[in-house]
Order: sequence, then C-alpha cells, then structure tokens
Amino acid sequence: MPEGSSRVLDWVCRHCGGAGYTLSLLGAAVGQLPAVARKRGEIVRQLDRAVFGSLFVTFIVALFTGMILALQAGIELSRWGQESSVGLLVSASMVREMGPVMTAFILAGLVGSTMAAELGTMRVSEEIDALQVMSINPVRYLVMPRVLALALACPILTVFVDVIGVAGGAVVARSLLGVDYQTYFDKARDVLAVRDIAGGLLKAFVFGVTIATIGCSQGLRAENGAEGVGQATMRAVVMAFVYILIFDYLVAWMLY
Amino acid sequence: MIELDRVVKTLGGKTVLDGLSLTVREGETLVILGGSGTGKSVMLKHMVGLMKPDAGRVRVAGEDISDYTERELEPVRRRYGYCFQGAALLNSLSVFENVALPLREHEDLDREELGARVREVLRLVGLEDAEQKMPAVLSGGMRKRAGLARAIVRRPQIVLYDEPTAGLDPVISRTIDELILDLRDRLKVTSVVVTHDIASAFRVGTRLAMLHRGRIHLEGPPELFRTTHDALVRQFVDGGR
Repeated sequence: MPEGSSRVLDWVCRHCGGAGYTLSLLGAAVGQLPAVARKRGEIVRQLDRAVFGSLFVTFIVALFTGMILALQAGIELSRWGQESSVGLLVSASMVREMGPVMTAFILAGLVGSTMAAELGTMRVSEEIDALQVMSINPVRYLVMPRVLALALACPILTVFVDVIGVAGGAVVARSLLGVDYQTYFDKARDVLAVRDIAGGLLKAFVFGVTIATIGCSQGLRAENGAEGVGQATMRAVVMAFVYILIFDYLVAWMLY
Repeated sequence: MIELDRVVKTLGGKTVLDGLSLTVREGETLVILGGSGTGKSVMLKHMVGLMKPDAGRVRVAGEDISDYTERELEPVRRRYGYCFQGAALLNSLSVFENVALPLREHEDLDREELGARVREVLRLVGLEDAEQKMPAVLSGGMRKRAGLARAIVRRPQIVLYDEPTAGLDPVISRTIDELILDLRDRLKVTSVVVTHDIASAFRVGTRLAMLHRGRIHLEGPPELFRTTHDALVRQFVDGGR
C-alpha cells in the first residue's frame, strides 16, 4: 500500500477509535448518573467554574455579537425602509443560532480545554492510575460531574448570551438606526416561538455534553508527558469546534 | 500471595516483560532490582491489574486476575496499597483530603472516625503537621510519605512501592526505608519494592530479585546478592556502593 494511503488509513482508524472511546465514555458517564447525589459537591464546583469562569468573556462576546448583527442587518434593512424589523432579525439569529453556538465555542475554548489539560496532567502523573488502584472509578469521580455540569452550564450561559446579545442589538438599533426600544422588543418578541427558545436550549445542552465528553476523553487518553497534554488540549478544542457545528446542523435539521 | 506466570508484555513495539515468572510470598519484603527501563514498574502494574499481560497469567491469593474487568478487580485491589514513584497525589486536594479519599469513597465512617483514621497514618509517616498543605508545596520526601499514608490508610495486606527513594537525598531515603520496615513490623504487610537503589534494597529486603531483559535474572536472600560472582549482579551491586 502506498505510504500516503497507509497514513490516511492510520488516521481514519485512530480517529474512529477515538470517537468510539469518546462515545463509550459518554455511555459510562450516563451509567454513573445514579451517583449524582453523592457527587453533588463536585458537580456544583464544576458548574460554578464553568458559569462564573466564563461569564465575563460571554458577556463581551454576546454584547458585540448582538451589536454587529443589529448593525449589519440594519444597514441592509434601511435600504428598503425596513429598519424597524431589526429586532426580529437579531432575536431570531441570537436565540436560534448565535447564542448557543457562540456560547459553545467559548466553553470549548475555556472549559473543554481546561478539562483536557487537567485530566491529561492527571493521566501522565499517574493520578488516574492511583484512583483505579483505590477502586475509585475515574468516570464517576471525574467525568460524570464534568459532563453534567457543562450540560447545565451551557444552557444557562446561552440564556445569558441571548439576553445580552438582544440587548446589545437594541442599543445599536436605537442609537444608529433610530428604532425605539418598544418597536425593537415588540418585533423581537413577535418572531420568537417556544420552539425557537426550546431548540436553542436543546442545542446548548447537546453542545455542553459534547464539549465535556470530548475534553475528558482527550485528557484521559493523553500520554508522553507535557507534550502529550498539550496535544490533547489542542485536539479537545479543535474536535469540539467541529462537532459543535455538525450537531448544530443536525439539531436544526431535526427541529425546522 | 502474588504469582506472575510467564508474563509477556510488549509496549510500543518493545517487549518489556518476556516470559517473566515470579512469586511473592506472604509477609515478605521482596525487592525487585534492575536498571532504568527494564520493566520494573510495568511488572508492578500487572500485579494490581493496571496493565493486562499479552500472554501469561497473574494470580493474587490464588485468583487469576489476568482478564478481570475494572469491576472484578475492585475486591482484589482492596488488598493493595500502592506507592507511586511520583506519589500521584491529587493536586486539587490537601494532604488530609488525599489520605481521606479512599475512606470517603469506600467506608461509611463518621467525621470523627475518619479524622482519627487519617491522623493515625499521618502520624505514622511523620506528617501530622502537614495535613492542610497542598501537594504542590510539599517537598519530594513529604510527597512520598503522604502517598504512603494514602496507600496504607485502608490497612492493606500488600503494599507495592514504585521507586520509593528515587530522587531523594540519603537522609530522607533512609527515613523512607525505616518507614517501610516499620510498616512491615507493625501492620504485618507483604511488600514489593521496586528500586534501583542498592543500599535501600539491602536495608529493607528479605528477598531480592533482579530483573534483566524482561525476566528474573537472579533471586534469593540479600546474602546471595552480596556474595554472588554473577557479572551482571556484581556490576549492579558494586556500582551502587
């Protein structure tokens, strides 16, 4: 077999094996859900880290995303004398797409990478082995609390991002396009259906689970010391970005 | 107590254990000698099921654990305490919490009982004043002692030591050796010590075995290692003096 083909095959095999491991890890984490009560302290700690550790960045990103959306949409709409509809476009974009996806990207960069680095360091410094020797299931002790925490954190932060984004859009609509707040928010409310809000939160939940599972999976499979931890962290972020977009499409396709 | 029967293990294309056979007897302190990269730690990990042999069998108290799942290994591991080379303390937990961890996870103790059990072993290893310290601020010797405290807090029957004196100065090394002897005498544990520190091996071992090219090259009482004319062993023993 030519060397190029062999490399491609090797990459595919490794990637499929990694995806299989990640899926089985998610299954194992779900299997540990009955231990939620015993692990509530760790779940709350992880939730706190994810939400409050990301709050400032999500605020800035949400504010400017809403403002940019309002500005770009407003420029086009004003050509047709429809700038009063800017609230409709901003709120629909934020709640359906931008809110969950931007939140997920931020969490993948901030929290998913931290999970991969943390668990990777634990793997290469034999802390995971130590847990196993003490008959402490690493999935119950480390993975399940992180997956559950991010599955909750992502929808919470998405609501925050949606609100700030729509509010940022309102400021631009008022100051640059002359659309008053009442009109802006009326249009924003009119366009949103329960399905949009529920769909956005469902996406956020799926993204949270995806980011945490990939982060933990990459960390647990880290090897070769500090270099391996760095590689695992990089892979956790890149893979999370890719899977966020894939699942975003799939959930949107199912819902609309 | 532990039996490795013709164990073969290949890692990264290199055969690390090549048909290794070894028996650990109840109550003894068996020291495994060998140079760096000869598979001493790999052998230790087979004893506790952290690694599975590619061929051969591993038995603990007559039970074949070679193909056991993690769940099946739990009662087997209950017999063990394991001191990792770098201590493997959880960096997010204090010394007290590290030592308390196996008790919290497996034993239904109230706050006072748990505190008493943890402080008892911390006193045994001389770390009673360091219980609130985080692993990051501990010296190498203190980390090893904290790791040892965690390994023995559930009163195991067998303690495995992976390079317990590696990277420590001679005074601290001697302290660790004395701890190993003290634990053997007080708790009557069976010990397996992996080391390339020959002075430490003679201090703590009731039986020595030398690992070379994935097999046991020589095993016997410390006296045999002092008097043998085997070139490989002589080079190792004399090089350590």
